[in-house]
Amino acid sequence: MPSDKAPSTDVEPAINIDEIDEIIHGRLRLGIMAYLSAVNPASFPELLAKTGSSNGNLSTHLSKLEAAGYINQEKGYQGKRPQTLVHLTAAGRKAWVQYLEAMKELLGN
Amino acid sequence: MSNQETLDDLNYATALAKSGNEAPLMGGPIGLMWGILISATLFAHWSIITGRLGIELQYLWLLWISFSAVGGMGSAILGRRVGRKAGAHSMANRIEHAVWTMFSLMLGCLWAGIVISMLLGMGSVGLFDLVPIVGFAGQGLAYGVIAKISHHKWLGYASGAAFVSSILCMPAFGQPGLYLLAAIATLFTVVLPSLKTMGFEDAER
Repeated sequence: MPSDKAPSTDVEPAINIDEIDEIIHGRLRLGIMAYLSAVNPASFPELLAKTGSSNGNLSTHLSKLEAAGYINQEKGYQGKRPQTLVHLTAAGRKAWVQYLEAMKELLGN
Repeated sequence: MSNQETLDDLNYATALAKSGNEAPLMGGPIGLMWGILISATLFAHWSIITGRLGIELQYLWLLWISFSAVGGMGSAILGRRVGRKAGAHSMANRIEHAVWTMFSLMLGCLWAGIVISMLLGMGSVGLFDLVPIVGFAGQGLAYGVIAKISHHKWLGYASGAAFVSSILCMPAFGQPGLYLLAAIATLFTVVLPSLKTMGFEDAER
Protein backbone atom coordinates (compact mmCIF):
# COMPACT_ATOMS: atom_id res chain seq x y z
CA MET A 1 0.00 0.00 0.00
CA PRO A 2 1.50 3.30 -1.04
CA SER A 3 2.19 5.75 1.71
CA ASP A 4 0.54 9.17 1.70
CA LYS A 5 3.68 10.66 3.06
CA ALA A 6 6.62 11.52 0.93
CA PRO A 7 9.84 10.02 2.25
CA SER A 8 11.62 12.44 4.49
CA THR A 9 14.60 14.02 2.93
CA ASP A 10 15.79 15.52 6.23
CA VAL A 11 18.95 13.91 7.42
CA GLU A 12 18.88 13.52 11.18
CA PRO A 13 22.22 14.52 12.65
CA ALA A 14 23.69 11.58 14.48
CA ILE A 15 24.80 12.04 18.06
CA ASN A 16 28.50 12.11 18.55
CA ILE A 17 28.87 9.28 21.03
CA ASP A 18 32.56 10.00 21.51
CA GLU A 19 31.53 12.66 23.97
CA ILE A 20 29.39 10.45 26.13
CA ASP A 21 30.20 7.68 28.54
CA GLU A 22 30.02 4.43 26.56
CA ILE A 23 29.85 2.35 29.72
CA ILE A 24 26.53 3.92 30.63
CA HIS A 25 25.28 4.51 27.10
CA GLY A 26 23.64 1.18 26.37
CA ARG A 27 19.89 0.71 26.79
CA LEU A 28 20.06 -1.77 29.65
CA ARG A 29 23.00 -0.16 31.46
CA LEU A 30 21.26 3.19 31.11
CA GLY A 31 18.13 1.68 32.65
CA ILE A 32 20.10 0.13 35.51
CA MET A 33 21.83 3.43 36.29
CA ALA A 34 18.54 5.35 36.08
CA TYR A 35 16.77 2.97 38.47
CA LEU A 36 19.69 2.94 40.91
CA SER A 37 19.73 6.73 40.90
CA ALA A 38 16.28 6.53 42.53
CA VAL A 39 16.42 3.23 44.44
CA ASN A 40 19.78 2.43 45.97
CA PRO A 41 20.51 -0.38 46.68
CA ALA A 42 18.23 -2.52 44.52
CA SER A 43 18.09 -6.29 44.60
CA PHE A 44 18.91 -8.40 41.54
CA PRO A 45 15.29 -9.67 41.15
CA GLU A 46 14.05 -6.09 41.49
CA LEU A 47 16.32 -4.97 38.64
CA LEU A 48 15.22 -7.97 36.56
CA ALA A 49 11.57 -7.05 37.01
CA LYS A 50 12.07 -3.35 36.39
CA THR A 51 14.32 -3.58 33.34
CA GLY A 52 12.54 -6.55 31.78
CA SER A 53 15.91 -8.12 31.06
CA SER A 54 16.97 -11.76 31.22
CA ASN A 55 19.08 -13.14 34.04
CA GLY A 56 22.24 -13.60 31.98
CA ASN A 57 21.93 -10.30 30.16
CA LEU A 58 21.49 -8.38 33.40
CA SER A 59 24.49 -10.16 34.97
CA THR A 60 26.67 -9.28 31.98
CA HIS A 61 25.77 -5.60 32.07
CA LEU A 62 26.08 -5.40 35.84
CA SER A 63 29.59 -6.85 35.52
CA LYS A 64 30.50 -4.12 33.00
CA LEU A 65 29.23 -1.41 35.31
CA GLU A 66 31.00 -3.00 38.26
CA ALA A 67 34.29 -3.21 36.35
CA ALA A 68 34.02 0.53 35.73
CA GLY A 69 33.49 1.11 39.45
CA TYR A 70 29.98 2.52 38.90
CA ILE A 71 28.17 -0.12 40.90
CA ASN A 72 29.01 -2.59 43.61
CA GLN A 73 27.36 -6.01 43.93
CA GLU A 74 26.95 -7.20 47.48
CA LYS A 75 26.30 -10.91 47.82
CA GLY A 76 24.64 -11.90 51.04
CA TYR A 77 21.59 -13.48 52.58
CA GLN A 78 18.22 -12.21 53.64
CA GLY A 79 17.13 -14.75 56.18
CA LYS A 80 18.05 -18.06 54.58
CA ARG A 81 17.70 -16.83 51.00
CA PRO A 82 20.74 -15.71 49.03
CA GLN A 83 20.43 -12.12 47.93
CA THR A 84 22.45 -9.84 45.66
CA LEU A 85 22.12 -6.16 46.35
CA VAL A 86 23.35 -3.73 43.72
CA HIS A 87 24.65 -0.42 45.03
CA LEU A 88 25.35 2.71 42.99
CA THR A 89 28.81 3.90 44.03
CA ALA A 90 29.87 7.54 44.49
CA ALA A 91 31.86 7.27 41.24
CA GLY A 92 28.78 5.83 39.55
CA ARG A 93 26.57 8.69 40.71
CA LYS A 94 29.15 11.21 39.49
CA ALA A 95 29.41 9.45 36.11
CA TRP A 96 25.61 9.34 35.88
CA VAL A 97 25.30 13.09 36.44
CA GLN A 98 28.07 13.76 33.91
CA TYR A 99 26.35 11.48 31.40
CA LEU A 100 23.05 13.34 31.79
CA GLU A 101 24.84 16.68 31.36
CA ALA A 102 26.60 15.43 28.22
CA MET A 103 23.33 14.12 26.78
CA LYS A 104 21.58 17.41 27.44
CA GLU A 105 24.34 19.24 25.63
CA LEU A 106 24.32 16.83 22.70
CA LEU A 107 20.56 17.00 22.33
CA GLY A 108 20.71 20.77 22.39
CA ASN A 109 18.87 21.42 25.65
CA MET B 1 22.90 6.03 16.74
CA SER B 2 20.06 8.30 15.66
CA ASN B 3 18.51 10.98 17.83
CA GLN B 4 15.27 8.99 17.90
CA GLU B 5 17.00 5.86 19.22
CA THR B 6 18.76 7.93 21.84
CA LEU B 7 15.52 9.63 22.86
CA ASP B 8 13.80 6.23 23.11
CA ASP B 9 16.58 4.98 25.38
CA LEU B 10 16.37 8.12 27.50
CA ASN B 11 12.59 7.74 27.77
CA TYR B 12 13.09 4.15 28.91
CA ALA B 13 15.64 5.32 31.51
CA THR B 14 13.34 8.14 32.65
CA ALA B 15 10.45 5.70 33.12
CA LEU B 16 12.67 3.45 35.25
CA ALA B 17 13.95 6.35 37.36
CA LYS B 18 10.38 7.58 37.86
CA SER B 19 9.14 4.13 38.89
CA GLY B 20 11.87 4.03 41.53
CA ASN B 21 11.30 7.57 42.67
CA GLU B 22 7.56 7.03 42.98
CA ALA B 23 7.82 3.74 44.87
CA PRO B 24 5.12 3.72 47.55
CA LEU B 25 5.91 4.00 51.25
CA MET B 26 6.24 0.52 52.69
CA GLY B 27 6.13 1.09 56.43
CA GLY B 28 2.35 0.53 56.61
CA PRO B 29 2.28 -3.07 57.89
CA ILE B 30 4.97 -2.34 60.52
CA GLY B 31 3.13 0.82 61.61
CA LEU B 32 -0.15 -1.08 61.82
CA MET B 33 1.43 -3.79 63.95
CA TRP B 34 2.94 -1.20 66.32
CA GLY B 35 -0.25 0.85 66.40
CA ILE B 36 -2.42 -2.09 67.45
CA LEU B 37 0.21 -3.29 69.93
CA ILE B 38 0.74 0.15 71.51
CA SER B 39 -2.98 0.84 71.72
CA ALA B 40 -3.70 -2.57 73.30
CA THR B 41 -0.79 -2.22 75.75
CA LEU B 42 -1.78 1.29 76.81
CA PHE B 43 -5.36 0.08 77.30
CA ALA B 44 -4.12 -2.89 79.37
CA HIS B 45 -1.92 -0.50 81.40
CA TRP B 46 -4.93 1.73 82.10
CA SER B 47 -7.05 -1.33 83.02
CA ILE B 48 -4.39 -2.57 85.45
CA ILE B 49 -3.74 0.76 87.20
CA THR B 50 -7.46 1.42 87.60
CA GLY B 51 -7.96 -2.08 89.06
CA ARG B 52 -10.31 -3.22 86.28
CA LEU B 53 -8.35 -6.38 85.58
CA GLY B 54 -7.58 -7.30 89.18
CA ILE B 55 -3.89 -7.64 88.34
CA GLU B 56 -1.18 -6.40 90.72
CA LEU B 57 0.65 -3.21 89.68
CA GLN B 58 3.98 -5.04 89.78
CA TYR B 59 2.95 -6.93 86.63
CA LEU B 60 3.12 -3.71 84.64
CA TRP B 61 6.79 -4.52 84.02
CA LEU B 62 5.81 -7.82 82.50
CA LEU B 63 3.27 -6.07 80.29
CA TRP B 64 5.83 -3.63 78.89
CA ILE B 65 8.59 -6.23 78.52
CA SER B 66 6.13 -8.40 76.57
CA PHE B 67 5.23 -5.35 74.49
CA SER B 68 8.90 -4.76 73.61
CA ALA B 69 9.52 -8.43 72.81
CA VAL B 70 6.44 -8.82 70.59
CA GLY B 71 7.05 -5.48 68.87
CA GLY B 72 10.72 -6.25 68.26
CA MET B 73 9.95 -9.66 66.78
CA GLY B 74 7.11 -8.29 64.68
CA SER B 75 9.34 -5.52 63.31
CA ALA B 76 12.08 -8.01 62.43
CA ILE B 77 9.68 -10.34 60.58
CA LEU B 78 7.75 -7.62 58.75
CA GLY B 79 10.94 -5.63 58.06
CA ARG B 80 12.42 -8.61 56.26
CA ARG B 81 9.33 -8.88 54.07
CA VAL B 82 9.33 -5.17 53.31
CA GLY B 83 13.04 -5.28 52.42
CA ARG B 84 12.31 -7.74 49.60
CA LYS B 85 9.80 -5.48 47.85
CA ALA B 86 10.74 -3.45 44.77
CA GLY B 87 11.43 0.16 45.72
CA ALA B 88 12.15 -0.66 49.37
CA HIS B 89 15.33 1.43 49.16
CA SER B 90 13.86 4.47 47.46
CA MET B 91 14.73 7.81 49.05
CA ALA B 92 11.34 8.13 50.80
CA ASN B 93 11.48 4.57 52.15
CA ARG B 94 15.06 4.98 53.40
CA ILE B 95 14.11 8.19 55.18
CA GLU B 96 10.96 6.60 56.61
CA HIS B 97 13.04 3.73 57.98
CA ALA B 98 15.70 6.05 59.43
CA VAL B 99 13.18 8.40 61.04
CA TRP B 100 11.27 5.63 62.81
CA THR B 101 14.50 3.96 63.93
CA MET B 102 15.63 7.25 65.49
CA PHE B 103 12.18 7.69 67.03
CA SER B 104 12.49 4.27 68.70
CA LEU B 105 15.97 5.16 69.95
CA MET B 106 14.68 8.43 71.39
CA LEU B 107 11.90 6.69 73.33
CA GLY B 108 14.35 3.97 74.40
CA CYS B 109 16.71 6.64 75.80
CA LEU B 110 13.86 8.32 77.67
CA TRP B 111 12.79 4.97 79.10
CA ALA B 112 16.38 4.09 80.12
CA GLY B 113 16.84 7.51 81.73
CA ILE B 114 13.71 7.06 83.82
CA VAL B 115 14.79 3.57 84.92
CA ILE B 116 18.25 4.86 85.90
CA SER B 117 16.81 7.78 87.85
CA MET B 118 14.52 5.36 89.70
CA LEU B 119 17.42 3.01 90.47
CA LEU B 120 19.32 5.98 91.88
CA GLY B 121 16.31 6.81 94.02
CA MET B 122 15.73 10.14 92.29
CA GLY B 123 12.67 9.36 90.20
CA SER B 124 9.27 7.79 90.56
CA VAL B 125 7.11 5.47 88.49
CA GLY B 126 5.06 8.54 87.57
CA LEU B 127 7.86 9.65 85.25
CA PHE B 128 6.78 6.93 82.82
CA ASP B 129 3.80 9.16 82.05
CA LEU B 130 6.26 11.20 80.00
CA VAL B 131 6.71 8.36 77.50
CA PRO B 132 3.34 8.67 75.69
CA ILE B 133 3.51 12.47 75.75
CA VAL B 134 7.02 12.59 74.27
CA GLY B 135 6.07 9.67 71.99
CA PHE B 136 3.22 11.58 70.37
CA ALA B 137 5.43 14.64 69.86
CA GLY B 138 8.09 12.40 68.27
CA GLN B 139 5.46 10.81 66.05
CA GLY B 140 4.37 14.25 64.90
CA LEU B 141 7.96 15.02 63.93
CA ALA B 142 8.46 11.68 62.16
CA TYR B 143 5.24 11.91 60.16
CA GLY B 144 6.03 15.54 59.31
CA VAL B 145 9.42 14.63 57.83
CA ILE B 146 7.99 11.69 55.85
CA ALA B 147 5.10 13.84 54.60
CA LYS B 148 7.58 16.41 53.29
CA ILE B 149 9.70 13.80 51.51
CA SER B 150 6.89 11.66 50.11
CA HIS B 151 4.55 14.58 49.26
CA HIS B 152 1.68 12.76 50.97
CA LYS B 153 -0.46 15.56 52.35
CA TRP B 154 -2.49 13.23 54.57
CA LEU B 155 0.67 12.27 56.47
CA GLY B 156 0.92 15.96 57.36
CA TYR B 157 -2.52 15.63 58.96
CA ALA B 158 -1.31 12.54 60.86
CA SER B 159 1.63 14.65 62.04
CA GLY B 160 -0.73 17.39 63.25
CA ALA B 161 -2.95 14.83 65.01
CA ALA B 162 0.07 13.40 66.83
CA PHE B 163 1.20 16.87 67.99
CA VAL B 164 -2.32 17.64 69.22
CA SER B 165 -2.39 14.28 71.06
CA SER B 166 0.83 15.22 72.82
CA ILE B 167 -0.69 18.52 73.94
CA LEU B 168 -3.94 16.86 75.08
CA CYS B 169 -2.11 14.19 77.05
CA MET B 170 -0.03 16.69 79.04
CA PRO B 171 -2.88 17.82 81.35
CA ALA B 172 -3.53 14.13 82.12
CA PHE B 173 0.06 13.66 83.38
CA GLY B 174 0.00 11.77 86.69
CA GLN B 175 -3.54 10.51 86.15
CA PRO B 176 -4.59 7.01 85.06
CA GLY B 177 -6.77 8.53 82.33
CA LEU B 178 -3.59 9.47 80.45
CA TYR B 179 -3.17 5.84 79.33
CA LEU B 180 -6.76 5.51 78.12
CA LEU B 181 -6.48 8.79 76.25
CA ALA B 182 -3.17 7.70 74.72
CA ALA B 183 -4.65 4.30 73.71
CA ILE B 184 -7.50 6.00 71.87
CA ALA B 185 -5.24 8.66 70.31
CA THR B 186 -2.93 5.91 69.03
CA LEU B 187 -5.78 4.50 66.96
CA PHE B 188 -6.05 7.83 65.15
CA THR B 189 -2.37 8.73 64.97
CA VAL B 190 -0.80 5.34 64.17
CA VAL B 191 -3.40 2.75 63.14
CA LEU B 192 -5.38 4.90 60.67
CA PRO B 193 -2.31 6.45 58.94
CA SER B 194 -0.78 2.97 58.63
CA LEU B 195 -3.94 1.58 57.04
CA LYS B 196 -3.96 4.51 54.61
CA THR B 197 -0.28 3.91 53.76
CA MET B 198 -1.08 0.26 53.04
CA GLY B 199 -4.01 1.30 50.85
CA PHE B 200 -1.73 3.59 48.83
CA GLU B 201 0.87 0.83 48.51
CA ASP B 202 -1.75 -1.59 47.12
CA ALA B 203 -3.13 1.04 44.76
CA GLU B 204 0.28 2.01 43.38
CA ARG B 205 1.37 -1.58 42.69
